[in-house]
Amino acid sequence: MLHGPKTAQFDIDAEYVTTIVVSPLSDIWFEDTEIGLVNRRSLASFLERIEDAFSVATIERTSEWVPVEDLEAIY
Amino acid sequence: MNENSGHVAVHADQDVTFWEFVLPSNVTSCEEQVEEMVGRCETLFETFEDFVVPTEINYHVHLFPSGQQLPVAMSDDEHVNTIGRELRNASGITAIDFRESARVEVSESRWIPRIGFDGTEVAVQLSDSTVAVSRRNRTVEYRSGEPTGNEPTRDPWS
Repeated sequence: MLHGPKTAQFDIDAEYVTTIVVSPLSDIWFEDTEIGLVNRRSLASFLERIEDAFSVATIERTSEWVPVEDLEAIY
Repeated sequence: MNENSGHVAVHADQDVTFWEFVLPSNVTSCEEQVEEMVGRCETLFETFEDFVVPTEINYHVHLFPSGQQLPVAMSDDEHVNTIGRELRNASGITAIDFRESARVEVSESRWIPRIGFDGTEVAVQLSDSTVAVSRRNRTVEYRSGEPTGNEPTRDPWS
């Protein structure tokens, strides 16, 4: 969790932003198997709980080792 | 795609892949910043449920004179001191432990720009059952599709 000045990329009416960064460090979340599906659901529920718990202005997705669409497909 | 059979394959490379939830913050002083940061962190604990158990949390509390307004920088002349906090608990750090750790016995303004959940146990379904995996349990480090033979330095989730 980070706190700092809002950067120009965010169209947010506040001087500062708090960012909660969640990094998946394994392929297991993206695996195209039944187990992969179960794990994706757990991760998606967790990400949903974060969004529900806070007044989230925007969710940014960044990915270097899987297509960013794979992140969008999870949450 | 690395093989996740009986263990979780953790990437060795420090690739940048993440979801980033961006919340507006309207604080103007260090006092407000710390109260909001600690409060938001406590709320984050509530989202973990049975999926995430935090085992290592690291952050720094920067101290400034009372009434310090934002923005501040560590290079500011007003900067008094920095206290490092390293929480470790293999059976799980609680929100209460965390809030207690953020208290300091001095009257200066506190500023906490970053709180790192650097160790986490994550509930993952493997072929046999749901297990609590971490870099010390049921993980294998991979690079370019091959196990590196090294102990993983990262957890499957951070």
